[in-house]
Amino acid sequence: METTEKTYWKSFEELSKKASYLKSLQNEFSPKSAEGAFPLTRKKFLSLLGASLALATTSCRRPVQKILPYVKQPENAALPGMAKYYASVFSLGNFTQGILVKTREGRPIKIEGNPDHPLSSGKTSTFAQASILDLYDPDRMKAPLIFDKQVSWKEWLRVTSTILKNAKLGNQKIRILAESNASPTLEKVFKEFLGQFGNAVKYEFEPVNQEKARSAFYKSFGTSELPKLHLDKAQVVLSLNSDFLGNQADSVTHIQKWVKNRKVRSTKDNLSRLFVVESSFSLTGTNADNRLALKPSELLSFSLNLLKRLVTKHGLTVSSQTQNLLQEVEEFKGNEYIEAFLNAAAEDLASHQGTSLVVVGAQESEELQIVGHLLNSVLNNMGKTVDDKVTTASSKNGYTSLELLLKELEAGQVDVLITVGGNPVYHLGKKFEAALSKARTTLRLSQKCDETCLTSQYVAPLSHYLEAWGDSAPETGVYSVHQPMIRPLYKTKSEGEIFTHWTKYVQGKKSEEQDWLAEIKNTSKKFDWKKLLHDGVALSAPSPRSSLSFRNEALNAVQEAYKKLKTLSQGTFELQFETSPHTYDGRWANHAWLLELPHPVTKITWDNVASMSPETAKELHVKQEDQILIEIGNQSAVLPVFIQAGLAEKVITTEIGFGRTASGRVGNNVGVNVYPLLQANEFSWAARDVKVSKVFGHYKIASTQVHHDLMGRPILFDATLEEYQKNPAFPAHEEHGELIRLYPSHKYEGHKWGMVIDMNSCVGCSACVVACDAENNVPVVGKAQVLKGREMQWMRIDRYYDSRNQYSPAVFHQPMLCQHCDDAPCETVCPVSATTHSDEGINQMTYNRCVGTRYCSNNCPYKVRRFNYFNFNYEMSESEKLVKNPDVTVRARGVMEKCTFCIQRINAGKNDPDHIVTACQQACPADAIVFGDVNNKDSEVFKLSKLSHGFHVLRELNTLPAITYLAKVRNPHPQLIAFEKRGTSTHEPAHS
Amino acid sequence: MNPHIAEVIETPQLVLGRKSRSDITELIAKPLDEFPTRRWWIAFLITSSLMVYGFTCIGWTFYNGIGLWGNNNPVGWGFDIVNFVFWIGIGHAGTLISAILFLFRQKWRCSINRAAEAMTIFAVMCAGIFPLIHVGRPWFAWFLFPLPTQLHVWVNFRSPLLWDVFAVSTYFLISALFWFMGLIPDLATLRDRTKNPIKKTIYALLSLGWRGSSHQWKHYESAYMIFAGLSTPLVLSVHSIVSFDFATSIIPGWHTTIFPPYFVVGAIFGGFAMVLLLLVATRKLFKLEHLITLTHLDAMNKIILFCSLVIGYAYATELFTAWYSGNQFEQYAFLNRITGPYGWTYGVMVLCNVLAPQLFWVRKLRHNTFAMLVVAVLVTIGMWFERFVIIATSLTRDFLPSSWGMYYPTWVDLSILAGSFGLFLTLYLLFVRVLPVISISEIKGIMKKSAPIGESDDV
Repeated sequence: METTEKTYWKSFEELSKKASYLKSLQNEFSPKSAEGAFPLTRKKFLSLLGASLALATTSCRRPVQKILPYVKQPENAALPGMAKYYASVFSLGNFTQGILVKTREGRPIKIEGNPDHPLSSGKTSTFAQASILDLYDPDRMKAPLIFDKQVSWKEWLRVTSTILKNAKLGNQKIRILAESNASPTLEKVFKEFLGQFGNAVKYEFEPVNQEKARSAFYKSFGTSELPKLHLDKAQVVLSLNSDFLGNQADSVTHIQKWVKNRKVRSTKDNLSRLFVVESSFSLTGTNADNRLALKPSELLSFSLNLLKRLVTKHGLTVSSQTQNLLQEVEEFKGNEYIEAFLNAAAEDLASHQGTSLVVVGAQESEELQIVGHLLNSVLNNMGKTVDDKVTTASSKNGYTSLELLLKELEAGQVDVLITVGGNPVYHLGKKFEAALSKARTTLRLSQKCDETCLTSQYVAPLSHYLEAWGDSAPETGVYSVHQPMIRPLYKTKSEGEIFTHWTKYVQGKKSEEQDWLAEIKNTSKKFDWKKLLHDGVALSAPSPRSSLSFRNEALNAVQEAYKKLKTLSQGTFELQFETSPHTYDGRWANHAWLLELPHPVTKITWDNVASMSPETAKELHVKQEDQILIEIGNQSAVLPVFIQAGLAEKVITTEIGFGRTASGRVGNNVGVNVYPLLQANEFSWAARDVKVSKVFGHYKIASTQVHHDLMGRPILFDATLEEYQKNPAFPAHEEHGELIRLYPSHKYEGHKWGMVIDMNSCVGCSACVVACDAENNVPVVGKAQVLKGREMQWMRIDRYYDSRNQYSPAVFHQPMLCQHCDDAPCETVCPVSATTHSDEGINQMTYNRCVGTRYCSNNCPYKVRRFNYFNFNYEMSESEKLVKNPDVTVRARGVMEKCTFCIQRINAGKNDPDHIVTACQQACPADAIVFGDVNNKDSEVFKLSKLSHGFHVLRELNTLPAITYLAKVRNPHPQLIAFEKRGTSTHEPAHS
Repeated sequence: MNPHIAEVIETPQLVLGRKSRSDITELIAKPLDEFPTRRWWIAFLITSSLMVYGFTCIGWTFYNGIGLWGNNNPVGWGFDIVNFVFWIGIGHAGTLISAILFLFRQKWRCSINRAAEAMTIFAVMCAGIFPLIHVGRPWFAWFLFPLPTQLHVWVNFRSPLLWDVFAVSTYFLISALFWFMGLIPDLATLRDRTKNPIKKTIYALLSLGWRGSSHQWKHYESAYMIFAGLSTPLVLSVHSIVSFDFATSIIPGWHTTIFPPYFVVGAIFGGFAMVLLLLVATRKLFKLEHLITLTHLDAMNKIILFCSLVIGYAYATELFTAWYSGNQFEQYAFLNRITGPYGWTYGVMVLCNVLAPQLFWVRKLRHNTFAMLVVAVLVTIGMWFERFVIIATSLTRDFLPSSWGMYYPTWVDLSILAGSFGLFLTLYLLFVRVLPVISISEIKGIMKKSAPIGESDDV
């Protein structure tokens, strides 16, 4: 077969077998085929390849950080992401609360109560909660100053020590003016220091002092001290202008004890009864079963009349001197209610001898306090409800004892004046400032650059109590140590450190850094140091001593005062001073959390006001937010008017602690300084003959609640004890019959978180609100935004008045927070699913999904959602950032937020779900808040939620809240119930 | 026929004067050929400045936050949503006129539908701004749309606010398409008339090759019918859905079943007032009295009067229902509306919406342009206040007296409201300059002798 050449061809050139073409085929890599067709040369290709390889491998990236675990875990290492708790104590003047400080990565971020401490039993006050922010106050003093010039500590100590040494050599007059403290070691150090000098004296001053209480106790029982009260043992309590549940430094202790007899769990439970006679409307007054508003000048006469009734009607035996006094006592003139009140109180006290308690406010006149002691003695309460073995810490810290110092200062006799803490220039005013400037050398130790610092020469910054060692003995048998949680943020030292240094220097010894700690260790050497640090408190049995018996000589003072009372002009305006729940005595004037914390009674933020009854306002021709001029002697103050129901006629009340001029960026010129008035009234907290006149002008008061009437709505329920016993399920009201659901219920197969709030225990102290602020990074918005209604607190305490009793309105405190409804109205309306229901019953907020339509807030019947109208965290100083809880997102502007049931605590505690506590619950001194898993039938929250007097707020809406409220059961005296018009809700005077 | 009866049922003329078809074209299209008048420029300057000012305030809000407005904790929605509902309401008249009146063969609609539709679109644009800017984080406003992104941000279909998103965007889309379709024959007319090459190109592009063949007309007519059919339920649905924002909530004063019809009627009412306002001005300025006759205005006034009666009835029903419900929250909400701190807004609302339109019972006033202007302005104010009463007042006092609060708008609120009017009027002014305010083709269809004898000329 003839083989034929293959005929396949690729191109005409190939077909034609053109020689040149065939030749070109031989050359596979001809320049034409390689370069002409494809412009990339081999070299170019390689260079590009190299370049891209280089670019790809050497591109930018974050520097490598390697995380290495500890090979061996150090014992006290701050584990990233894990909180550590250290025991410590928080002191306010002479009073102390045991605390646990939560630290994260070595920085303290939250105060919790120390359950081992007997005075606070794991609970805290608003002030203790808030003290954490004080640590990070950006306006703290950061370095020592000599004549306004910053110097190093070394220099400052050298200069001041030399001054002191020269003073010793020259036998100069050295005077210390210190704030009160409960520290035995600091007292010892002061004593040692004073002992170095020939002429050195220490004075103490507190505007909220125990001077009168101590002297009244001295006159009555022969010792200058303050007794411990056993409110838990008292079935009948009578308060005479004492706000023991409210603004006192030791209120936490009192609240805990008082609520022990106020819990209602079954119809068999008994309730104690609280009578309150007062001239302001205090938090204690809001919790009274029977309250009577009197003028300050009427209290003495009222108390003597009560005693008279006890003796004449109920046959209590009293000494002949007492009987002599009572013979002079005229019948108390008043209306039928006062008459009935006197009878009711006398009857109850007489029938509860040994289980009753009369408490008189520590700032009240000596005479009233003596009558209080007399009443307790007559009622056989001494040694029972009033402890006669244990005394609470107190010191000579009043104005009277200060007069000598003032005289010396004014005479220019003082060579060296050392002011330690406090703020005497602010408290004592211009007169003291002038006197202070006459001292040759003024030394000042203070945390903040306050009014007193500005007038002192050698100023040194003190450490915050969380940065320093210290101790306290708030009552006999209780000793605690506080340890530094963090190195001082700024160049600061504690009083103890400075004084031990000075003492040693003057002694000619070399001082060491550990001197102060050594002193504390020395004080506490009878205790195991490690255990003391761990527990935060060590207890010892108080030494026995003879019981207290009333001295009848004390009655002379009462007699005189009573006689004098009759000679005084009647019917003048009277002014009652109070401590402030915002700033206490002015010390927390730069504290944003506290200033924005709504006043427990008036709900006012960022201000002090002149409160008066509607009748008084009418008499003065003023309306809410008008301004009045109050004059005492040659001092005056202009205050905005606030109409407050439940005050006696012609009584005006106001709070100290405002109008600071050198407190810092937050507190300067907030409110009005009324210390000049207090001073003009010789530091007596009740002023008579007060001139009041209307002045031109209007002042905006930022109150978080402007409507105070329940309007008969099913928001809360109350009953008297008797009514409750007859009908234990009194809050059940089936107006709408059976409530129907269209959708199947949620199934909670694991946990179902729930809460019970006992309105019977809640006294309205607001510690929960501050605790929530601290735990959840709740921003502060300022007065202007509060005025617009944009406060951010996740938790609020709604306060309603009910004027069924025309003589004194009943008050209800209702903590209100997200109800975590099973059928939540907020969840359905969110267009972006930013708020959803968890399978554990929590209504969740997903911040980074939220676009901020505010629809959820509109549709929330409880109005507990809070919207970030601005970036409220924008202007935050570096130090303020440190207080933020790293477990909780700091919310941006335009995002909705609300209570999460402390989801971070729930998640952290899932291994031990029975012991999860929310921040509000942790702080609550009254144990009014109980949180837990309602799917666990053994849990307390489940049991409480099934109590017959439990109810849901606005049940008819069928939102099925996870929070059950226990209705308020009051225990008014049967004779006084007659004054209540039940069932008719008369409207309060509008406060809007 | 009895001449007397004939006089009574005499059909009114919709085109007055002896106009030829070219006269009509000339009359409507001529202003578009001329340089804008001085008066137009002044008006444009004012409205566009207002618009720019409003947008600046919106920008200022974006920069600082919603806190610049008066909204607060009980009152999460203030001017923002009031304005939204107000503008959406305004935007109802156009589609009603173009769709529902078309289906009912109300031929008088032909001379007003173009302007009314344009107004609708502009009003919906104004309305659409508010839901987007009222959110706290407007840069995330896209979360409101069901966009399938990797972020898996998905929407909650149970939320009425989401229904709003769909309702409003659908409505805008359909209205705009309907309007554009109606414009095609006229755009072709303009294309053929104009001598300016740029204009000619633009009109040519927009007229989509319209030649006016009967084939095209046939398709056009059926498409028009379909659009009218599509739009008709939308007229009812959009405001019904907007009302669901409130009706499905639990706030007393919001939670009301009467809301859908109440809102729809209110919207038509407010929309007609706005159309009236614009047309009275337009016919005067462009000398279109022969095309937009008093007969047209009279018909609109009658609708306004009718709506006012329905609105009044709705107000009364709300009060009755609140009383009859025996529900204390409901009762208080309405008591508060009338006697509370915002009682005056309720007064303004009743005065403007129920009482003022009663003037139109008088035929003379129905034919008096000044009276119309007064009533239309009052109704516009009244309808704005109605939304304020419903939205803001209800929120100030809901269930817990502890959280009651007042709402005070700020200057930013007022500026943005003014800015929205600026935007609306600016767009309308631009519209009258570049597009025929009256449908040239449709008006020709209702002229005498435009249809075979015995067929038409009815109203």
